[in-house]
Amino acid sequence: MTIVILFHDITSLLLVIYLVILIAGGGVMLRINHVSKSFKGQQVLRDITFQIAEGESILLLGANGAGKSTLLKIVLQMLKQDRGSMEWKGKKPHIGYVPQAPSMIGNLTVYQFASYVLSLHGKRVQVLTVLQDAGLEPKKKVLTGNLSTGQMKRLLFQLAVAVKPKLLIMDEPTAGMDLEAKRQFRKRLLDVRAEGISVLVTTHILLEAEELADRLLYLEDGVIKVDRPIEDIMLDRKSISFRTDFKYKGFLLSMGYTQQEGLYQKLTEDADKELQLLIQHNIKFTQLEIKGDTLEQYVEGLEREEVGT
Amino acid sequence: MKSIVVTVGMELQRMIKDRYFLCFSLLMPFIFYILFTYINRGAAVDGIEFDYYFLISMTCYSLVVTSVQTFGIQIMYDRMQTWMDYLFTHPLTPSQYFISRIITQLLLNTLIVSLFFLVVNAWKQFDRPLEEWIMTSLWLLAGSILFLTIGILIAQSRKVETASVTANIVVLGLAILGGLWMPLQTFPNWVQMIGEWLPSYLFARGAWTIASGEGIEIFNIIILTCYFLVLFIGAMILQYRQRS
Repeated sequence: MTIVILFHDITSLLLVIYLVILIAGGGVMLRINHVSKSFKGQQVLRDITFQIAEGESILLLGANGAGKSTLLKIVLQMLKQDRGSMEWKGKKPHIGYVPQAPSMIGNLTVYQFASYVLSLHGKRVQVLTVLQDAGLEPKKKVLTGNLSTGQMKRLLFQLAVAVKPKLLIMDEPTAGMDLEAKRQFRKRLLDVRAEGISVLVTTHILLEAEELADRLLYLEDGVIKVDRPIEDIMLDRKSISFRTDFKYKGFLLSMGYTQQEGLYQKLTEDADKELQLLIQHNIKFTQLEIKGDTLEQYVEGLEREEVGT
Repeated sequence: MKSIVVTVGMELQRMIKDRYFLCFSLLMPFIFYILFTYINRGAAVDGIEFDYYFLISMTCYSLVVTSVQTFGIQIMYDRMQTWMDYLFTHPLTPSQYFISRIITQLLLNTLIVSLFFLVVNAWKQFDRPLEEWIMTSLWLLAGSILFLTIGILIAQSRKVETASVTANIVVLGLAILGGLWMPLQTFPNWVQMIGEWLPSYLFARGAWTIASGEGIEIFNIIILTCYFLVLFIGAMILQYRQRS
């Protein structure tokens, strides 16, 4: 009774429990501490520190060459870091992996390939279920070398989740998929998250990421530039727009607004302060709209800053 | 252990469908055998009838091609095409993978020896005791491990093209100068002097001496063991360097 009074609703209660677990460190699955990596004297990752909580989904972004794939490979232990450490909670768990460019051996059939991968995990009985979930049951006798990139990724994704990993790492998982396959992928990924599997994903399709990820890690030149919850990002920066009299144009443009067909617009980190300022200057406006920034807009802003520097 | 068994099964499925293996390791030596035994019918080398002598030569050649070229280049491709990286995200360690590949290759080598011996013996009806067939087969299988290390060495190349060219040169050199295509006695003296020290010649010579009733010479075993140790250590050093 007391708990209900204190927290008003179940969502707040769950949030507080989640935060308590995080603070206590019990929910952290992997800690990456000050990891650096260089190739032939060229520094690719510098002092990377972050953690992945159990059940958390992290979106890893950055321009080409920012170090995303290197970081994924270090987490997967395909590469060894030059400096720093990785600490798993307990024994290193099984990691599911969907590679960016799946160049698999071409002369196994889809069935043989799936059967082999599942057999390594002692789950060979699930082959047909996996092929059905990947929509590839009719192609079970086709050689994997004859599958399209999208089909291969569907298969790799279903294989990765079929063995119930604790962490799922995906490098551009939807590249090459058609619309229907992407829709199915999103649905399945939501199921995966509901199962409590942590996810570390790179993608260029940010509309998907808003729904599917909890946190954004943005890499720039091998350094983490942003590490923030996506919800925060979307609440934080807002787009304010309104219509007003032409006489205010000069003032508004000097305040950083853009104007298009009588509509004034500005991206701001403090919409309330912006609104107060308009009121203080007696600016009469109509059709006022304050919208949260989309992840896409936010990342575009980061990329613009990067190009600027 | 389960991972190794499953991987061997998968690799066997894969290899049996491999056109390169079927063509260069099975079909080509068999065609050579038909051709050369027809040309040299009735001949003998070191007191061994040419048909049997050349059966040993072509079986050795097939084992060299499979171990150096097919095995080496395939490992190279697997490494370059991220297939290995993908595999190691599953319950399979690099050492389990390499053990599986070597077991697969030894099974394929057993298949090659059995196939050649059974098919050619059914055709030519050699009058040789079973123990000799078994002894020769065991020698060839044990000796083929040396050529697998050459395959592993070639697989350390940085480019597929380099590996492919190197494998071709090594296989042709070992086959021709080692007397697998033509008896070494038909070459000039200076070529014979080089050929006698090549692992391919020493490998086949072990089987030829079993056929002539002399038994395998200790010197032969020592030299082949030295070759194996040098190549094996070389392959391990290169592999370590590449990983680090």
